[in-house]
Amino acid sequence: MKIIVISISIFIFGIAGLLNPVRDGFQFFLNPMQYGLSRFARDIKGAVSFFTSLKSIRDDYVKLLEENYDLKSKLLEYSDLKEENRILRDQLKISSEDSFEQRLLLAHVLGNPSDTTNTTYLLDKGTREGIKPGNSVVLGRHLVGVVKEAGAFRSVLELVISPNLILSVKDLQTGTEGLVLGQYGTAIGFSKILPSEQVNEKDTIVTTAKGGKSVPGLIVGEVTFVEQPAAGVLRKAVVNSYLDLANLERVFVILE
Amino acid sequence: MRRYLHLFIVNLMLALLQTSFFAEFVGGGFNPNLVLAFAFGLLFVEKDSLSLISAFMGGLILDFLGFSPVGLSSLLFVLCLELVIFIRQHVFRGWILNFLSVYLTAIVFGLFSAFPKIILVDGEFVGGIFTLVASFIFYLLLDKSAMLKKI
Repeated sequence: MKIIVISISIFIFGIAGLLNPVRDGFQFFLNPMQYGLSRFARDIKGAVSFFTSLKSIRDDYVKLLEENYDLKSKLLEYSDLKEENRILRDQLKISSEDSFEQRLLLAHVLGNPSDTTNTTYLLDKGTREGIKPGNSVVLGRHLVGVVKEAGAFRSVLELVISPNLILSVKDLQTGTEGLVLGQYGTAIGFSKILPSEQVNEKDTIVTTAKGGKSVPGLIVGEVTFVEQPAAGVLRKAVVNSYLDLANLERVFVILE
Repeated sequence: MRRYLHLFIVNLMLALLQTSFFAEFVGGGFNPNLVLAFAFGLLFVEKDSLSLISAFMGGLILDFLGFSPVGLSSLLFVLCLELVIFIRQHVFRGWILNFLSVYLTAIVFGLFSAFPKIILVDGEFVGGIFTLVASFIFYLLLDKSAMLKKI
């Protein structure tokens, strides 16, 4: 009976947040150990999946070679455009779009055992390093998610596939705007598309400044399915992230 | 005092394995609850008070490693164990109760893992079985080896 009373008392203290400094200290010391164990498990899983999918890896390799030739020709075209863009920027005195890259903070992914839906991760950096709830988390220019909670030495990252995260986005190819929110914990739903607006499969979806939940211009993913239009009804599309969100190891937090 | 220190170290190692290695390796709701399994292992070898202390310590460690309110896991573990001890003493005892209690406690813990939201994913039902197997392994280890004497 005594232990129940102690447990209830600790729970009340915990709810009031009085034990948060103890938790912060605990997490500070155990962060490297947890990261090491997570990485070890990831390596084992990676090795197992490599040997079990050798054939599909070979097929992917052939496909990637073909894509590589295609991309090399596109790269030539892109470098001309980049140079043209740089000259225009100099002329118009516009600051670089990539300025957020100077405010990036590297964080290791620790997994999140208490989240059985696999839509959040713990990061090994917190408010001590300048992280705040609402910070965008990226890998390259790809949006991974948004910081949901931040402790002194850890923070909770809400992935783009989370049904609790709604972002304002647009189709990069057609300019169609809409909202995305996670579905099924694996894909992302692109909703509120007007019947007259165009969204096609393989289009790239990027964030916009509307709603202010994320840094604009970050890649959310690629459209993989578009619902057939019905008269007068808003359409939906399914977007898949280019990233392997289940196997993230390191991410970058864009600090304010 | 030394006994509590040993319990703390064992629970810390189990909590670390549970929240990092197994969380990554098995993932989602399939993850076995090693801390809970160990506490039940102690209960199966008739160390009632020790199992309560182990559940309390282990639950607290799990809370310190995550973002749920501190004390929630230890309170849930202790309440479930107390209930099982009461049933064993006053109603009936046996392996059916042992297996049911581990499985149901693992499910209850899974329900509250995203507190204040109450979510139950399909994987929890399999995770409960993994926890049950782990508790039986701990029972065998504690029963047959010198591990218990050390604790």
